[in-house]
Amino acid sequence: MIRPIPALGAVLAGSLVGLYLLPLAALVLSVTGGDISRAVAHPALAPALALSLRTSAVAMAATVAAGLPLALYLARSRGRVARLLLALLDLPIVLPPAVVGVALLAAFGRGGWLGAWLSSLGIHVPFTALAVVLAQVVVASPFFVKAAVSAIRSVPNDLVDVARTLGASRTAAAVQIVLPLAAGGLATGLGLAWARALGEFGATLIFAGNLPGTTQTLPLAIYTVLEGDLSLAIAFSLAAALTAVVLLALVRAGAAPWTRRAA
Amino acid sequence: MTSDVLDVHVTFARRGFDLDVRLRVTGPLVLVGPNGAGKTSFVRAVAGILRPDGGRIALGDTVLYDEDAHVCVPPETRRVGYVPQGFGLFPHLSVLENVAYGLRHGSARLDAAQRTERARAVLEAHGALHLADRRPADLSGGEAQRVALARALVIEPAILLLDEPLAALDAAARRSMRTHLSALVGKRSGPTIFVSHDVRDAAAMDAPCAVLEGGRIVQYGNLEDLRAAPATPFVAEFTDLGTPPPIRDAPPRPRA
Repeated sequence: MIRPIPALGAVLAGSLVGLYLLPLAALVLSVTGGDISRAVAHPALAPALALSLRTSAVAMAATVAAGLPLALYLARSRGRVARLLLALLDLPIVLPPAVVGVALLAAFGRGGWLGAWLSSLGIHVPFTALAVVLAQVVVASPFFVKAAVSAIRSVPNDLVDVARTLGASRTAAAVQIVLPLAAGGLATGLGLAWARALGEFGATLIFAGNLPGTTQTLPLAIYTVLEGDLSLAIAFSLAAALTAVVLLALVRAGAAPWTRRAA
Repeated sequence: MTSDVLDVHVTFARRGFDLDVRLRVTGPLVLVGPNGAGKTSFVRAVAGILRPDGGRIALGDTVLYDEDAHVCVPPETRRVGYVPQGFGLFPHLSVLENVAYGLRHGSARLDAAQRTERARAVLEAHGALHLADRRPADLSGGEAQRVALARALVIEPAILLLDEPLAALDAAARRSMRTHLSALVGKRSGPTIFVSHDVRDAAAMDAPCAVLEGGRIVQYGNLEDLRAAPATPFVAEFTDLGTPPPIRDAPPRPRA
């Protein structure tokens, strides 16, 4: 009979933690001041950073605007359609990003379902900034919607019922009672989704390409400079990591007053 | 305020839940019944939160619900004061904001200064003005009940629905709240439905009792009438004030 050996467990757990920390440490420790100034002066960095911020901000605005009503519906409905949609939300998380990219091409590409109709209107989605945003929304928004559904479900139904008898419409009760009480969970979901959108690589590369200034986001810029210069890629990566951390902190700080009130 | 008659006939016919209740409520009414009898569903149907499968609800000449005529007035326009089990106070709002909430919407809408003034007046009437700036999390059960009551009454509801208002309170708070509620219910002119499973509530309210069992009203009348001729074993047990508790088989466990 095999008995769990605490020492072996500690070694295994420790090596996993080491695996998390080692690459991060290597990233931070192997960068030099010269690499950083070369990265800052590099013509690809500023446009890629700006594009990443712009496209992910638009993707998150769309995610919140469309994801909140969807989450409100999914949280309150126990019907078959709602259960199916909840399961569907796992798809973009489970599918390899490359598959999502190819699927988006099949839908919006020149010969694609919607693409053919769109190009008859003179609209070409692939290999544009819009394609970058679409890829980010498909891949990242499920993280927000799923977190929003569980945050909304944690608000007791009684509160909504009472609000209704006190004169609040369905929408007023959602805005005044449910959303403030769910704010903490919504912010966590938004932070997760934003981080995922900033990191989007595979679907973007396939569906939007790697055109500097138009579709070359920060992860694609890292990939591009990596081909010739590892230390430059490291400096670019630090910039990307810093961006993600700052954005997450901003989202948390933005939600803090709501979360405090709800506590 | 004119006191209209509340005429309710609601039916639910769902898996494992069959309810068919007709009640005419003119003033205060105590609705009693065992757990799972359908008391809360009945109250929620009157409030407009839960749509029944059939029937009709009317307050005087105003139809609130009529399945055959496809009428179902939403809760926000029914003018119902509703205090759910557990009170349902909004945890992110202060006591004052909770009470003022009903004055933010629809026909009862007031501007911010008037809302505050009116909410403070109602809180004072319920002996809870000193709680105005507190959060619901910082209230005792009795205090939360007073605030929930003030919040429900601030809209001057035509119908008042209290779902087990005393169940969550400890014995002392329950006694003082029972006195407060019976005075309040006595003063009100409109229909008031008070859900309870405690005979002492029924006695204190001095109101007719309707007994709901298995989705049907099995008996209706004053407490004395119910006690004199109980229609079911539940009614007999419910109205039985005097019998000492049954002798236990085993001695009570020593407390830690």
